Amino acid sequence: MHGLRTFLDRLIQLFCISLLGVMVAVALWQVASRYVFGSPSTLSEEFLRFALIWISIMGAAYVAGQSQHVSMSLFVDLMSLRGQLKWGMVIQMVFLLFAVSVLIMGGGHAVSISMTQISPVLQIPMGLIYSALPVSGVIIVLYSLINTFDLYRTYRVHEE
Amino acid sequence: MVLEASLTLILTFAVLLFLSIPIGICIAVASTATMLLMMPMDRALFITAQKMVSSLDTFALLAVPFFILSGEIMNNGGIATRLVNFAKLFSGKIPGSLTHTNIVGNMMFGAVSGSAIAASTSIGGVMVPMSEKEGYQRTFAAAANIASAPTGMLIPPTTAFIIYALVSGGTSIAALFMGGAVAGILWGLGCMVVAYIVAKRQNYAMAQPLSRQQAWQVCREALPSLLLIFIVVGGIVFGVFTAIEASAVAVLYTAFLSLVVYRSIRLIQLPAIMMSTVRMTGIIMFLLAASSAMSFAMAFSGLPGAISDIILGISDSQIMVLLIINIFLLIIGTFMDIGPAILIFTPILLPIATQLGVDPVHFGVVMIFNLSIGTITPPVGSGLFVGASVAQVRVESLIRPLLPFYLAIILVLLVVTYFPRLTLFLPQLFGV
Amino acid sequence: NVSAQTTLRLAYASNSQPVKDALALFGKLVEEKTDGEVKVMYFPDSQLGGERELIELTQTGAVDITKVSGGLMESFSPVYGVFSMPYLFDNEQHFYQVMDDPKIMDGVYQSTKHLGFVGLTWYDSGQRSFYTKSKPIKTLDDLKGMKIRVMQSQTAIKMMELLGAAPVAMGQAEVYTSIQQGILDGAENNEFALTVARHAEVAKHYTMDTHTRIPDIVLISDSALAQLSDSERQAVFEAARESTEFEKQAWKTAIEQAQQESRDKFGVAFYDVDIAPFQQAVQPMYDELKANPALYDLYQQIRSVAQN
Ligand code: NA
Ligand code: NA
Repeated sequence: MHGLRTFLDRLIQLFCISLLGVMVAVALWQVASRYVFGSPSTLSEEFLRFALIWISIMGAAYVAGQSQHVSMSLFVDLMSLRGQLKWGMVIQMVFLLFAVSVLIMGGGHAVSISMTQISPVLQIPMGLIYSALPVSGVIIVLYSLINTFDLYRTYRVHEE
Repeated sequence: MVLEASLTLILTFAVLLFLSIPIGICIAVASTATMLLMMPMDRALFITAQKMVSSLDTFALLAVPFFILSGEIMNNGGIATRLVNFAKLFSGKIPGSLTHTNIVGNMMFGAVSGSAIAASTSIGGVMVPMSEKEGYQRTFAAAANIASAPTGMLIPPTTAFIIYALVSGGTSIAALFMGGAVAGILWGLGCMVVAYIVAKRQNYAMAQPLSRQQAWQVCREALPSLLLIFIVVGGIVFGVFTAIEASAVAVLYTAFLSLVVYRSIRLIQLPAIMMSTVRMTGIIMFLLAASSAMSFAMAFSGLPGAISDIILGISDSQIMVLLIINIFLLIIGTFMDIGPAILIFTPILLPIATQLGVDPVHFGVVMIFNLSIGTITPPVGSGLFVGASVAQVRVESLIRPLLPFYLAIILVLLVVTYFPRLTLFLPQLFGV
Repeated sequence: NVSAQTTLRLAYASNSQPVKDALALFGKLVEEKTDGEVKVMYFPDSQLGGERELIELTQTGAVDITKVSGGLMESFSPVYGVFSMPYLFDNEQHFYQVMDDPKIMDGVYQSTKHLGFVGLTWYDSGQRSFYTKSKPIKTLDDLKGMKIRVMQSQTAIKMMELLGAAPVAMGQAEVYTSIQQGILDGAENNEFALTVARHAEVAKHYTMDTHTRIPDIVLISDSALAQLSDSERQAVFEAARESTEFEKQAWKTAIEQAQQESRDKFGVAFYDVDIAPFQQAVQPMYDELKANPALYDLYQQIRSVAQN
């Protein structure tokens, strides 16, 4: 489990860091090409929009793995430590359900109807853009299982 | 259908929120549940998914990761400290000087970036930790940052007014910009008054006066960092690049300063800095993405039409209708993102207002003022949530310190609403 | 005599007044012609999303009818790309003649059938021409190197490059400030861009080169058509046609007003221009078209009804 988490973390880090670097470079290129080269880049705008979608959704999956999405903690604050651990597992299951239904099923539907839809400038299938959803869905499912497992282990430790 | 849908939406959301489910999930699940009243499951799931992606498909949002990244580099590279030291030269003797610096920073930065979120992450990300170090309460510093962040949506240039001009059928953008500037500055001043009073009561430390030599030292050290402001603002004003492109230029310049000039960051630290940018971007964008599904669920149930019926049914006095519209927009703003809200409600509310003799420029300013407030109020407020995670404090702990700020902002709203001359004075003077 | 009522959900993005009025008339006519058996329920002003999203919602059946730009349709069915070709139509008459000809348009409308929706009718969206901030375009040479905002489409970008301009891709909402600040020298659009979008506040020269006439397309989902009886379907198509006739007139009136307003209120100067050099410059695009039989065939049909 620990190995799987490290693997997922590394994978997302590699992807997001490279993409963020490329995004900054492309945005700067967009400015430079207008002045230095006299022929403005016409591909960069669409690329940056699509890259933003991917990095945001992958970033959201990463944050889900680290259980850092914003929430109101009033309710869990009233619980004992063991109660909090139990409730933490419930929240992980909610994440899992969300990932399976909205991201994998809903996102998969979006991918399937948009594979023949061609983006106006880069001329790539819009399905590739939507596929950020099912991909992050699968990652969130894995993270939820790992997180649940970890919470359960801590819970067992506190039982004794 | 409107009533069932609204109740489903609000109740599902409230219950999930209370159960400490992450807020983005609460919004997405409540929206999907509402859609299920009106359509089969597979369609509702598709729409939630589609809205999540298409709401992020906005070029202007690129400013968010880029400004967060430059903010992170500034924090790690000592640029932020130098800028803050410089600002303290001028505001040091005023109670709550760091908070005032934060507020003015948000107004200036929000003005050029047009993004409340970009402002609150980049300025607040620097100022809040700095304030705590100097003895301010972290929650107070965070609250001031959150409260003043939306001023940039009123102070030009802002896309909100451009969208409004378009859907209102051609209201003068120049006039809206002038009116918005007045309203945005009043909002900022309101926050500063609150900050002054709180800081005075809490006895927040004032900076020790510096000797002439020390002051000179601070200026010299800040000079390269100050150049950043000139490059970003100057580049936009003189038409070298757009406000969004400026965010990438800011990354380049801060990286250059920290890596080459100050050598305060080593190359090997960059991945960690970038990853914390990605994390912050993931948190913010997930909230934005989920909120757009909520807009759809409300519109599909026929809520916009119902609202116009209700407003027209209640009263036909200008003062009353404006008050009702204010209340409505405040509520709408709490649930809906500002862009979709302008598109949907301008065509509904503007005719009602103009019929009663309200100037479209004035109405536009009032409307965007209202919707901007909504971004920093519970239950759904991207500005509030983002501000909380930037300051690394819990959302609940912010409500109390935010209350006096809300009060001041609402007072300014009422002034802006009922004294149209304030917004219309400049446009009339310049004849636009 | 119990009969089930059908409600068709019609959603559209933000639009000009003639289009809104025509769509309202369409619903009224449908209801009249079916004796109230079919009703149209409206989701105006991007309530349900932008045009690309609305097409996808029509694909999945969440929306029954929508109205989008013909330029966007190219993403879904390549044959619509022909309408984005520059200087395709000789004049407004030629444009009307093509769009009103079922022999030409039926094939185009049906080209998205496999995606779950078809074209119902078209609306006039006027002509697009260049407008600039500081220097008017009076010849092709004036356009050289000018930074002009371009629509997000390969065809539009290609046209700009062949005309010698420097195409800049950006969202519509950024155009105003970009012209104001000088990031752009100009943009291209119909006359409503001057008045409704207020670009006349920052750009005072409008050159009538009328490079494109891209129609708006009204789409209806297969599932909606399947719900209707034969006579109801007939009524929907008739209502659509009649709303188009209305829209053409309403558009013409509104655009004349917009021109007047641009001149009188904003001091915009309108320029006529000899377009022959412009046409010549974009000729390589037509040469390339030959490589694509479906598009070239449509192009030839369009040219065959031209007067000259
Ligand atoms: Na602004
Ligand atoms: Na809110």
